[in-house]
Amino acid sequence: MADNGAGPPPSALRNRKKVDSLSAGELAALRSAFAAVYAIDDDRGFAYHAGIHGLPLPIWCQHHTPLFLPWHRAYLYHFEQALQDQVPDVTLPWWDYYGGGDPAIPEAYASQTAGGAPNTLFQGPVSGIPQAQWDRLQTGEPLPVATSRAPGTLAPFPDRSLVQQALEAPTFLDFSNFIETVHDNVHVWVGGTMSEIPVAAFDPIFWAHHSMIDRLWYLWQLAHPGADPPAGVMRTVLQPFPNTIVASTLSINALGYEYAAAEVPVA
Amino acid sequence: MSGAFASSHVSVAGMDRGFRRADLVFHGLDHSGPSYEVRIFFNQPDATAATPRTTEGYVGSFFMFGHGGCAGQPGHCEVPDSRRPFDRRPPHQLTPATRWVTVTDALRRALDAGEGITVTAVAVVASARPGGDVQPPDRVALVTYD
Repeated sequence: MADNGAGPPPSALRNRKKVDSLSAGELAALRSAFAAVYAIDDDRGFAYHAGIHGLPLPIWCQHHTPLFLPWHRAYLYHFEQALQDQVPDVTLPWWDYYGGGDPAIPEAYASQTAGGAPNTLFQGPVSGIPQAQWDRLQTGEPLPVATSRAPGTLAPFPDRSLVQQALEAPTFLDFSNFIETVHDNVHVWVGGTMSEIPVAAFDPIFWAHHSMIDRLWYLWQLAHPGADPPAGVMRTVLQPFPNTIVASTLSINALGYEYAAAEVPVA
Repeated sequence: MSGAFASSHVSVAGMDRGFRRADLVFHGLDHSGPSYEVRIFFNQPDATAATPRTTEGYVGSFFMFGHGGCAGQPGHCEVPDSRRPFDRRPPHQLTPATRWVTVTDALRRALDAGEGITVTAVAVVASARPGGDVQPPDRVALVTYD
């Protein structure tokens, strides 16, 4: 294939697949990757990456601004790289919100055990947060050592029509507005650790949730070619990610991945 | 905890019906505390957190993912009123937000009924722990698009 400067050939891209379509082997590899990063306490590890979003300070995540979608795309990219450093072929799967009947945490993330061992996707360790920072939140609860969920106790699941409304939005800011309230609603629906910013990213389901949001942005991009974020933010640096500005996040193929429903070997 | 913001009565009697879309735009939304939902009603000035979404006049809602309080020392979560020249740092994390909800069909129904509109927005905190307060938005605007 001639080098046209458009990025790596398609064969080099990795597919992010639907959680429920992962093969047993793919799921085991994902669980192994999470277990591996849980065990690392330096800046290759889970606590470092989860802490970028919330505590410990500074809180880097971007919400309620035009940077919401680009920042989280960069965030997922860097965490996926960290997972692939441990298990090379894993990708972040996406949570198909409406794939089943009633809204539910995907089974891969909901079961407490997997293969006779604790399921690393059921909950994640919470570490690296200074006690003083947690105490100032005045939660009335001790600093957690692991994540927890309470699905459906704080809010109903967002209706599918809200996603459709977002996908039909004519501009980036309109899409971002509508999809962010779906995003916020899902965080609250999951409840527990996921329901507020400071520790949300410590829950493994955070990453599948955000893969779905990122996928929806990608689907919207495909339907609205050239409908980019406002020019005024295109060169905004997405801290703390090195060499990353908003414009760097617009092509998922340039970041090395695609979204697929499933990937089944046939030969 | 919940709080309500109620607008004054807005007459829509003379409003041009030619719009293709109408949004309620909330400016200056607080996201420093717990996550919360804002439920919006037309002509239900007494709506509360207990008012069902099935009530006539319910037009939609949106969620705000909250920062859950201030983990920093005093002053850390104070959003500056202005910025110094040459301050090229990003805006403060807690800079109030803007969000909008499309109310096209609800507005058309109100126009058909020949009514004015009272907008009531009820903030419902979505947190398992007690307490937590939500500041009302700075302002709310009804925006129509041709």
